[in-house]
Amino acid sequence: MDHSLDIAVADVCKTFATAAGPVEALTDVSFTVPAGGFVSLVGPSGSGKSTLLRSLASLETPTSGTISLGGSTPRQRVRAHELGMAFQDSALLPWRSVQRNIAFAREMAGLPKDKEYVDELIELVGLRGFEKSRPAQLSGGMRQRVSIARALVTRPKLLLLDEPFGALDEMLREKLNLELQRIWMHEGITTVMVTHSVAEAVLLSDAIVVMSARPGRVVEIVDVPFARPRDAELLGSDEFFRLCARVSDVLRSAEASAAPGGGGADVGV
Amino acid sequence: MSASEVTAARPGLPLAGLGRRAGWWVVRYGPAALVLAAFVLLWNWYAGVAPGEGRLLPTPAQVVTALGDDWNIIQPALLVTLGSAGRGLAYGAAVAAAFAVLAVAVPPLRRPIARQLTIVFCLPLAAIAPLLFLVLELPGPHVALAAISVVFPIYISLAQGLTARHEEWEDLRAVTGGGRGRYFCSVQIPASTRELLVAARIALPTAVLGTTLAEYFGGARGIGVLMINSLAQLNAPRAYALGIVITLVCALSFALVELVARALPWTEELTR
Ligand SMILES: Nc1ncnc2c1ncn2[C@@H]1O[C@H](COP(=O)(O)OP(=O)(O)OP(=O)(O)O)[C@@H](O)[C@H]1O
Ligand SMILES: [Mg+2]
Repeated sequence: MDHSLDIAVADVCKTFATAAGPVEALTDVSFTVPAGGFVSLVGPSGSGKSTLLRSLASLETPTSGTISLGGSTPRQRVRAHELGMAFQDSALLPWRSVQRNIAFAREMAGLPKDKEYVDELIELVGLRGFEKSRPAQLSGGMRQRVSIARALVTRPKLLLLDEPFGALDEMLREKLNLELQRIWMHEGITTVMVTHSVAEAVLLSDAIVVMSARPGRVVEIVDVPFARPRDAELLGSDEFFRLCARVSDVLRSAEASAAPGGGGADVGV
Repeated sequence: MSASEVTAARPGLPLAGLGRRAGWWVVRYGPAALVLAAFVLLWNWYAGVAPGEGRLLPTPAQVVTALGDDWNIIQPALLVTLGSAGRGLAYGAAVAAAFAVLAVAVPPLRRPIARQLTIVFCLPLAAIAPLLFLVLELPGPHVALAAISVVFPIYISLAQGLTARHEEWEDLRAVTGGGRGRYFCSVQIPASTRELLVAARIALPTAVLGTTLAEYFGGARGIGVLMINSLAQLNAPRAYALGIVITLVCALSFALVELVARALPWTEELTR
């Protein structure tokens, strides 16, 4: 879509200096996402998925390498309020109601109020009836949904999701996965999602970036060829199952290769 | 099944509920009531045997009688004292807030400000009070001492709240491309509510005590003035009654802050 951003990540490295010495969170990470694409990041814990996502949001600065979002730097895109992000911990404001937590992103960005869109998003993430509730009165999954609605409320051109459905039960997860697909197809927002669920990644993505830990690097990029819109029927199909199994295999080998200290050439596309 | 059986079978029904409620009250307030009763009895006994025939230590009954009889004198004095304390609190809070905002805006100033205020706070109020009477007109010293006594505790709480880092919300600010000013007003200030309540708990009674102390050193009206006069006239029951009034006012201020805190339950969730 014309109003969303394409992503080009080239040779990105990120080393954190810690008391115990430098930690290589990302090593030579490269991949691209076309405008309006949907990419998932999967990998073992500590493989740098959050670090990569935070770099796309300009919350971390790569030690080397470049990130281009539609030809501009992440910082420029952030200044233009073109990014939406849902964090691994939902990061809601405890004194605000659901409604006002969602509206908060527009407020921070200095965008005009849009009560209708806030209500629409509440409906969309299934929180009708909880508009006035405070975060403490919600379950973990409900809080994550508020956080997703908050990421969408600024009508971003790039949506970054860090394990957005991590705390949800299987049924709700599936339902919201399909909702997310619907929003994504409708708005055409380029989306990068971190997830631990292979099925979720296969269901939603155009491509899956599989990463390994210590050091965090891209092991393989798996294309997902299924036609859209994908529905519950696909979830039960053989081809879906086969692709999930393949991604799981790559993941398993990624974890195995990480243990004895990495090594081996990148297979990145 | 008869009505009484139903009542016995269901603890949720009114009668059984009443019993449980009473039990809860005994557990909640019983110990405090016992301590208070023991204190009053001990006081009563000691007032009988202590030297001075009641002119140094009156009995509780005498104090309560004085409180009732002299209420028409005590009440206007209390209003004067509360007026001065309130104004002092307002000035003190304003000064503390100004320092806190300065500390937020210019981080290198944090340490020097805290150090200077600590020094001022460590000066005995009783030593400052006479000086205030040299430079200020009444009731200026009463207001000023209240202000001086609250600046430090309010500053410490405010500075702690307003300089606290909330990383996940700062990330949110960064991602939305929001300004720091807006973040300060919409996040940092509400996130300091806990510290604000702490400041209020300390500052309210402190302001009243500061004013009372200043009134000892001179003044036309006020609880402190009345107390000095009562002691000079050897009217111990009234002096003690005044002490009780001040104590109750401070307790009331605590209850007031507690009420506000209850209305903001989410302050408990602000851990940082
Ligand atoms: N601010 C930081 N300072 C130091 N080290 C960090 C920092 N952030 C991340 N790291 C390290 O970088 C590595 C990657 O962390 P990251 O959070 O990106 O992993 P992840 O893939 O998101 O893991 P998970 O699936 O558990 O969320 C880890 O070894 C982590 O300890
Ligand atoms: Mg993570």
